[in-house]
Amino acid sequence: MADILQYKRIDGVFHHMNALTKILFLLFVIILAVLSTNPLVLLGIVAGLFVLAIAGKFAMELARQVPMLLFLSAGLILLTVLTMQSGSVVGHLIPSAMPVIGGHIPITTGALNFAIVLSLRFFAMLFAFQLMVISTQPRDLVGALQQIRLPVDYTLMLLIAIRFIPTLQLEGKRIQEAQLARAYNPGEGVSGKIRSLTPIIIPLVSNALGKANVLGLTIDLRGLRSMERTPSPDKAFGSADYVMLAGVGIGAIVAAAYYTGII
Amino acid sequence: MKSRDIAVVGILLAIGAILRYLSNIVPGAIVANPIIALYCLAIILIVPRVKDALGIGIVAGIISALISHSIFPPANLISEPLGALVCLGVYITLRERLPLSAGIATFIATLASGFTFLAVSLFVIASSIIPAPGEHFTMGAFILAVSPIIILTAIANSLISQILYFPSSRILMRGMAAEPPDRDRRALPETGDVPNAPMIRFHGFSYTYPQAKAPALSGIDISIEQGECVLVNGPTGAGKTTFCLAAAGILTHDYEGAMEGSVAILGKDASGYEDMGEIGKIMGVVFDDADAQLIFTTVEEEVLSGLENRGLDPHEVRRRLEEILRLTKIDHLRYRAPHTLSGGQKQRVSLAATLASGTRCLILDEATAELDVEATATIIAILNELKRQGKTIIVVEQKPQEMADIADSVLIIEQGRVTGFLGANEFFASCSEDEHPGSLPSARHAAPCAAPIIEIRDLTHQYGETLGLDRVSLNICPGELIAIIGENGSGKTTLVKHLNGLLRPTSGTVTVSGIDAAVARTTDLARHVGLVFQNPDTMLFEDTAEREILFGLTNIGRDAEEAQGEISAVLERVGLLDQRTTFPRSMSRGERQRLAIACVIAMQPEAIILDEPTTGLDLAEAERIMTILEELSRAGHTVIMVSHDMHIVEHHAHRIIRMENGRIASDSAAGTGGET
Repeated sequence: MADILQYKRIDGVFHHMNALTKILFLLFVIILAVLSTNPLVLLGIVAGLFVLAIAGKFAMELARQVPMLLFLSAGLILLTVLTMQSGSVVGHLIPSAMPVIGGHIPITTGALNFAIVLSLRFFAMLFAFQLMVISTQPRDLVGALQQIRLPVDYTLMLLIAIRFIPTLQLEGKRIQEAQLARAYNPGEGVSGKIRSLTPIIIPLVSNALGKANVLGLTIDLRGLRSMERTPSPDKAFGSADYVMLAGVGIGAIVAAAYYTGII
Repeated sequence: MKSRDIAVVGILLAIGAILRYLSNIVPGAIVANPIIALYCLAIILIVPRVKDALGIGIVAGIISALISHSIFPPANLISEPLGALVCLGVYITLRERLPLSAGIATFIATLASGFTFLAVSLFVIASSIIPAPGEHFTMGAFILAVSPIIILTAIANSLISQILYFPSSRILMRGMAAEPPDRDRRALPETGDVPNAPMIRFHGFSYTYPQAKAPALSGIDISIEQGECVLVNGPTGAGKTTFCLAAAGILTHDYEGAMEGSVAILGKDASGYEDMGEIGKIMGVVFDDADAQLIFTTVEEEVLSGLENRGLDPHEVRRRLEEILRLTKIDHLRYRAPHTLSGGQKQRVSLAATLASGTRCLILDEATAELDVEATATIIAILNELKRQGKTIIVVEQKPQEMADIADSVLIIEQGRVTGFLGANEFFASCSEDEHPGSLPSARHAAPCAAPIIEIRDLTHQYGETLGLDRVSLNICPGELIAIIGENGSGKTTLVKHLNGLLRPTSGTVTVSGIDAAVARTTDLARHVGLVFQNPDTMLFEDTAEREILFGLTNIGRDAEEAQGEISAVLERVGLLDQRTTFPRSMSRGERQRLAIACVIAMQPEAIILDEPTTGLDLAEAERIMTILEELSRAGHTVIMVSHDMHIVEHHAHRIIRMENGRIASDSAAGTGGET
């Protein structure tokens, strides 16, 4: 079962940081990735994130994402090659050696450069989001979002969504087994997935919505919409937060100097 | 926004996130985002205010960004709120005019969200590297290339939303919370928290659900004192759950319907409390669906939330956390996520979270219905301790004997009326005579047969590092009615899932009707072995009972026209012929269980497996199910049921197999206690 949006319990430096620090770091990486057009700078950001993941003891979690990212990057490169001709031609998507149709769809240096920049940005942003997801308890994320004034009703929605993702994945698997046991054979591949939608997603949504009444009552009875929390000492800013914030500050100054041409 | 609406949105966004993750298999810069279909469905179902629709969009945007595999994840923070607003606007405009307004609203919202996402992504990503004049980067070509993905996603999303709208709206209509109920109240004076006032006082209380013809509760006039432990007993559908909802003030604050009389909590009319949050400081409720009461992502967080909301100082929060975790015996589970817990563990966590709120009264509505003997005993021991601490406890329980040691009184509800409010001693004295109407049926030895229908040899199943089954060998003969018993995690379900190919052996062999179940396809084995899951709702998805049965028949190649006679016959066999066109999910739990059995037996498999077929049913409904199973056994079908209800097992099974740590601990003919 895929771990979607699931926190990993690891005793690493990122796990001890305040969620607000990590949100700030995430924003910094996104802005930096968007501003950077130099593939080497972007590669440096990606490598830096990976080094931070090693320091945070979850490098393997990021490494597991790489095959999927490479696959998606390949799609991105194809899309760019198909839609962009800029710079010199380095080859053709359909090799010239092929009879009749050979030599069509030129691959240009501009398209490749653009695709590499997009892919590296893609890696940088997704690594930064993964870093946030893996190292932040949903409860802390919700607390941080409340601190930046997201209303409690919306943070509760987010919390419930994150909480129920694995439960509903398991429920979906049970429903799929139940329909298989009724000799249902939707077939393989994408068409099979589409055909299996109705007998699986209808019971999944119906069963999930059947929980809404009790869930709503529980929210009321436990007074969760007030969320008047006792401050917890283990969520106070620590030395790791200050180091990270200082790093972000220095990084921002260096980036500003670089992009304004001062250095 | 009501709390239930928040729950609806959260749950649908969770499903959207799962679908969104699955959609990542589609390569490309812009991938399909089915989360839009699910937040649109949420908006269509609850029709929120504009501000709340925007909030739903923001939360959907955060989730989309966090799990996105697209070129610029933060663009979701703009595109999803916009999509949510468009959906709300279009739906409100069209809902009275067009029958497919749900699908149309989702289609337009997806287009709005998709093209906004594309525009923001291209603006941010591409604007910084627009090539110099004279070069030929064509933004238009890029947009043209990804536009088909957006349009196809819009079509898919509109189909998902429209298909789900009908069943979802019917599910949500049941117990719909809305405007304050129509009341004809003999109100009590608002006296506040009176020291010696009863914990709960019903005063001529009656309640009728919206659209119901008969009242669910009628003329309730009782008083439950502080510190009292009351067992609520009665058949399925008698009104026990409605009684709990009334006692907790939930009907007064959260439900539509017609109400007469009043309910007072600690001397103050329930309507005099500001909201359920205020009542929640006095009353805690543990419902039968423990899973739906766990909101946080770890056990510790769940319990902490109740403690932290009480405004205690941090040291006191920690001290009480440890105390509650110890009392409910879940301290070893503190870092576990809800989905990794067993049913019994979930119930204990739910109870712990309720206790953390420090309420003086606890209501448990069938909190042990789905638990095995050991887990039930743990809950009862906890309740005993809480009673000693002076808490008022109200427990709805199908198996009253479990509560014999701690109940002070027993409230009997039948057809919405209180038909008895007895001292516990008096009740259990009369009950003990009824509960053992006769001796157990004589032992029927499972005679060895020449041609077993199921043969299992040295079956081992490994879940990663954990051994699920350890060299199990077993023969099962045609016509046997077998019960497989054992504690949670003993290997019962793992064993039966090998019989229809849902699990494959790590080693050993499983042969069913001469077919090697280790290699045969599940869909082929389904013709020989039928499986009825514990929760019938796992399989039911059609609009009518007959279509539900037809689904299985068409899967094995039967013609829909020719199958009509078989459908009638099987519906008659399970006593549901008059419900042929009924929406399955509007049936009672017992009826849905019988329909699930009908779906399987219509396919005429040689063997039928049932996982906990009588869970959550009263004695009469359970006996009805067992009568059907006995008839099937007599007709030559092999019936295998996994059960922890020893009353059912001892009275009906021909053979009892007890599992322990992945092995068969005993295999005996019913009533003999000896090995065969």
